Amino acid sequence: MRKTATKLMALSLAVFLITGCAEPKTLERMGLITTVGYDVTEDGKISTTIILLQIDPEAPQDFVVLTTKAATSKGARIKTDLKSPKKLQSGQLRVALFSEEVVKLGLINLADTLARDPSISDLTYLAVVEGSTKELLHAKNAKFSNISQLIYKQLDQNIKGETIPSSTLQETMHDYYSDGVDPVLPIIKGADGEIEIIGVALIKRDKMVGKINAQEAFYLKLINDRYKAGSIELMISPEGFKFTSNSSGPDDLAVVLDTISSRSDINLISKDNLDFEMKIQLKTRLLEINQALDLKNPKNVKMLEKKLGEKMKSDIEGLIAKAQAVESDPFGLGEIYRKSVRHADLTSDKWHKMYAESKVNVKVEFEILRTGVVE
Amino acid sequence: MVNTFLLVFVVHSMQLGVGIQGFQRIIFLEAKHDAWISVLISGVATAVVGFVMVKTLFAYESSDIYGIQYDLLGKWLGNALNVIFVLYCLGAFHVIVRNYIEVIQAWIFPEVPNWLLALTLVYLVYYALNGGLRTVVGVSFFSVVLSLWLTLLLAYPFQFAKWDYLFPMFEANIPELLKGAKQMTFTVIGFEIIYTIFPYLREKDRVHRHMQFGLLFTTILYLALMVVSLAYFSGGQLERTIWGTLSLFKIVRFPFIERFEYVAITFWVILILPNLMLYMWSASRGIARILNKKEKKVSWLLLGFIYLTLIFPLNRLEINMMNDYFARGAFYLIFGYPFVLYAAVLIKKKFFKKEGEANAKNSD
Repeated sequence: MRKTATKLMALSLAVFLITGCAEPKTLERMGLITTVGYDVTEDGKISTTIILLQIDPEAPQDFVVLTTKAATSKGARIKTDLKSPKKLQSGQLRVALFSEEVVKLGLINLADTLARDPSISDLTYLAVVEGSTKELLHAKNAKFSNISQLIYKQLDQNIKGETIPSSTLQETMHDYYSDGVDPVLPIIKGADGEIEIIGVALIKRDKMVGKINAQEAFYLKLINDRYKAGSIELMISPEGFKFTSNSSGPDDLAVVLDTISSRSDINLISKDNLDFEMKIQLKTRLLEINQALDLKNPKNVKMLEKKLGEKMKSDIEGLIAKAQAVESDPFGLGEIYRKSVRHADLTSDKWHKMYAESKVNVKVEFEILRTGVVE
Repeated sequence: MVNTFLLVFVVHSMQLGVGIQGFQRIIFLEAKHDAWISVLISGVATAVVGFVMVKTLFAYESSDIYGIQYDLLGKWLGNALNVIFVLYCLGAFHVIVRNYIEVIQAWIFPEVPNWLLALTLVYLVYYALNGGLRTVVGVSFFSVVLSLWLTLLLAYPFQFAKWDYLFPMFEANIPELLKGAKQMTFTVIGFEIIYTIFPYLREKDRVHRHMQFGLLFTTILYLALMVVSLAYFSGGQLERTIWGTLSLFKIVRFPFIERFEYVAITFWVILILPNLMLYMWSASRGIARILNKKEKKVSWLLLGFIYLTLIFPLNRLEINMMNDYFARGAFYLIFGYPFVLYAAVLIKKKFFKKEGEANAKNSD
């Protein structure tokens, strides 16, 4: 008898106390933020544009775009609540966009706000927008029904498909708080109702200092990632090749390659001279070639490999020189230095000075494994 | 009486608690990227102390720390030390609940008041203590078995790991490593439960082996967590992450649960329940033995008292300070005092053969 009474008491206590103590979150009354964009206004404030998911079958479109100005991003959030019929929730945030001006002024305060909020996922993508994020998010177009989904899926597809470096919140914060490597963010641009990833922003600490195009982004990925880089189109001079038919094609020989496996190995050769050696091994398959080259002839394939290897080497050297000129280290050479030198006591400032003076010796080992199912 | 085999689970579940949620940062601040060596050192230290504790208990046939201290120092001094041990257990209880509530409020329910969360936990402990020690040990067994799968989720942060961050190895000097190991105190304590649970273990000859298994299991788990954290976070990031282990779970994403850390945090209650129950059981047993009262009644009173202390509001800084003081006290009590006690027991054995052992005999 007493036992039953105790059990009943426990149950009723649980039921009465636990329900209703936390703030209830009814889905229909929530505005789920899926995308947020930050711009700077002329008076130095932050203009925040958010896209809310509408959960209402009778709504004319399934998302709402709201823009507000405030001194801080959370301040903007409070003001946006005043404009919104639903309580804003950021748990479904997928993409955070920053206009170029914002990133040039420094990204970290905004990114830190995102990282501080436990409801925001560490897998949120960050990206830079060429132009204004407000315009991009407000753009009306018949081709897509929901721009926030479009941007998210496009970034997701390209990052998972190994075309551009990954830029989740976790990775950006990781690189920012690491002394020997700078974060990278993809740059997107809206034009004529399409959204295009046009390259990658070079960042020094948290400030954007330059940009590289999509092809250079491929090389960056090749250097940084162990597993796989995507496909690439390379142009080389046709000198020295014997073509089967003397076609009067384009001047340059264009080759499209798909990476099967790649490995990059960076080592510090001399810590006093800051000499690095970067070895890149690349195994590819040939997808397309724009002129009739006899691939049955091993000589031709060897030559092609050699020329493509040289081309890649010079491209990579160009990329490194470009990044060094703006003192941005997306390759993580500083981490290699820190790892190889005992008691390096590396700080970000110290490294960025050293980085500009360091020399990188690039070696590319390039191999074409297959040329498709026909020869 | 409890099967000695279960001691593995009791020891492990007692060590695992709130400390593990954020131990990476405090160790990293001392030992930098060699923090994993500190974890290893602290693991060795627990093994040594565990050995000494068991040896001390073996000197008496079947007694606990309360009986031993009473026997060594007499009624007044012995009981005074017993009260200190009881206070330590209550302090541990308080600190665990505090930290867990803070995690719940920082991550999931910012508005849920202290009194409610504390009440639910205290009530659960009350419920289990009414079932006696066997229930409590059962809870620790299930706490370990049911949470083993959480370790598999380390595979997610593993994908983002950059092993370069572990190099160059042994860059920290020995004092730094030892300081880091000292900071582990808060995370590794809990195995002192052997001092009170010993009389209830059935096969005494296997106690030491199972104790060491439990400690080893904990050390391996902590080491794995530390290594993954060091590779997953960059240095500056780790210094700023209060709850490193929970942040590791932020990266876990399933098609049906996008934000896994919410599950992990709420699941944590299963990990801390054995701590709370066993600490409260130890404390009430101590008081019951000092005052010769019924254990259950004492535990009700103690739970009521501790609940009142838990309602008192503290902010993040104060909680940090409390953790610090508690860890410092625990360091001397767990990593210093057992040696003194063992020495005292040895001396006593040598000079006063078999005298007064009847005193220390377990009354149960």
